Amino acid sequence: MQKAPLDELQVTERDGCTGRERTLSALHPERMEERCFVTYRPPTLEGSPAQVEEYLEQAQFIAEDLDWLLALPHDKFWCQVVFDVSLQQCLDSYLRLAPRGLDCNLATSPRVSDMQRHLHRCVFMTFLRMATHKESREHFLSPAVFGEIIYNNFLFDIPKILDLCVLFGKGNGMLLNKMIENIFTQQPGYYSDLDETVPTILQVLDTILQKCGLQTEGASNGQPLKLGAQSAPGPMDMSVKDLVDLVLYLCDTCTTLYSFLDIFPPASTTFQKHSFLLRLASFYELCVPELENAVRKRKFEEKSLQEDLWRRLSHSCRKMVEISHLLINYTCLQPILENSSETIQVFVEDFLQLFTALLQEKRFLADYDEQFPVADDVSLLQQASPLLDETRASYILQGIDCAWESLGRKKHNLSPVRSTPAPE
Amino acid sequence: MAQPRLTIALRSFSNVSRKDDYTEEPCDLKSKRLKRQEEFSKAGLTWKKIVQFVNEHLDKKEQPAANEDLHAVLKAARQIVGAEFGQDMIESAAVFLFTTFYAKDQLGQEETRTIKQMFGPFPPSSASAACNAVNRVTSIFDETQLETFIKTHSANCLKDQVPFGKNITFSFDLYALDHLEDLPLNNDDEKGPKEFSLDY
Repeated sequence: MQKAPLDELQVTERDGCTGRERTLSALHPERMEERCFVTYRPPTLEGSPAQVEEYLEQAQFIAEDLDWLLALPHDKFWCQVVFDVSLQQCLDSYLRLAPRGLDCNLATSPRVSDMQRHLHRCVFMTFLRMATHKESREHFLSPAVFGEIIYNNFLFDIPKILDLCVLFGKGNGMLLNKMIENIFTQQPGYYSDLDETVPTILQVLDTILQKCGLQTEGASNGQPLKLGAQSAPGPMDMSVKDLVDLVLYLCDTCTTLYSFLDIFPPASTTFQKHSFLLRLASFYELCVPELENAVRKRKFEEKSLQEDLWRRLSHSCRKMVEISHLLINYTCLQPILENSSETIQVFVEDFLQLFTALLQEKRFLADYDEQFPVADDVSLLQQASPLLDETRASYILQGIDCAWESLGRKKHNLSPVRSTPAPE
Repeated sequence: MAQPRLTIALRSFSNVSRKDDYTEEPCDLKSKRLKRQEEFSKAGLTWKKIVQFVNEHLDKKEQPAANEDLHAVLKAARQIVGAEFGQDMIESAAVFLFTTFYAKDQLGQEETRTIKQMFGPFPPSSASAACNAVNRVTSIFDETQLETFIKTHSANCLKDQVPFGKNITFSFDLYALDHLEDLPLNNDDEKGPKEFSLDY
């Protein structure tokens, strides 16, 4: 019975070639089985029978191999995941290519969807096992070594974690939260990686703006712009295929980010170190009206495509607003609810500064307020902090009303807080 | 066609993923099949044991016909795996065919898929011949006798292991598009933003 952590254990076993007994560290490359995991290929929509067979054959190999992997004892499992490159490639290919719920090419054939479900579960269980450093009282890894193993071997990285959230997070949020929390706790290097990733996410938003012709390359990083530089064709002029790609990209980006922040809210702090919310709101303000306009006004050969794009755009808008709410909730509101009165003031000030900065983003603000009435939050602030600067709070609320008016929209109901007269 | 994805962009443009893009080529189906054949050949049951079992349990007068059928299975195995493989591999393929067909009357879709999964594309006539030959041999035995023999000799070192996650509830729910407002067709564009005002 194993009592020491796996990383300190030695095993004595017979050498397959020489037949002699030998003693090895329990985590040793020679203890890995040559299994030859194949990479995943997603099923194709309306694939020919040959393509379906090809998918099923490849998926069957993966399913069998992962079933085998999950049945391995603790030590053999870890030897395999650490040293078998083909396994890592297989898992990575699944995360990259497996259909998301929002994809257009979800399988319809029962055989394909049954196989896909089998694989989906196996892949999740494999990652769950890889995120668990203590499997039982007898079978465990030292937390520090576990942190090093998963990080140095790229068993988890930030894109993989985001993939896991968007693929499995809808119904397995609690398990995923535990997994990701454990990964980040045992290996704080993931916080640094996340910190390094946020600028790339912002760059993705800038790329979408550039593709919409709303930002010339270089404008975001302070480079001087050439006079007469031509911007890319906007959503009204680009090809339908490009417009579809753009909306799909936006939709995937928003859903992926939302799923990650929803499952692992502590990431909000890292996002906010890069003023992510302000950048997102500004992106929303610029990009959403342009794309909405294009989807509504352009001529599409198929009406269903236009309706699909509209749904995806509306979904993206909602997700951007929900991402913003998750960020505000974790970085400002929750600390106000949880902290003692001495420290609350810092978070109240953050909230007020944030919304003051957001006042210029009228479309964003009105859409945000529609889903998450800011007046309710201000009311919370008033209750939590007697020292709340009522003038600033009132200024924000009036600014939000103004945002609604400027868009020609009417609020459905006014919160009583709004009628509170601002102090002279 | 690949869909545009955030995480693919992050893999390409950030420095937080494995950058060497894996030094080894991914395993192709041919190598995978060879690996499976290799694994199967180590699984415990051998062609010699099958021949021995058949001969031990038959009368002398039944043996020549049975041996002829076993030989037909071996011949079909050679045609399926390819003559370039050695005797061990061919015998292992014959074991595979025997265990695939011993409880089956004919070559159906499931068996075709199982054989293709192991050996790749194969001549169906060879598989049918193997199936018929196995059926002729097994018809002399009662089913449980054969099943016990095959199970006893087929090693599965993981059969007693409970797979990780067996008792964990898993949800297949996926994020889906929110059901939001329909596309506004007769929208009035004149309801555009009003003039900008700083008068809060």
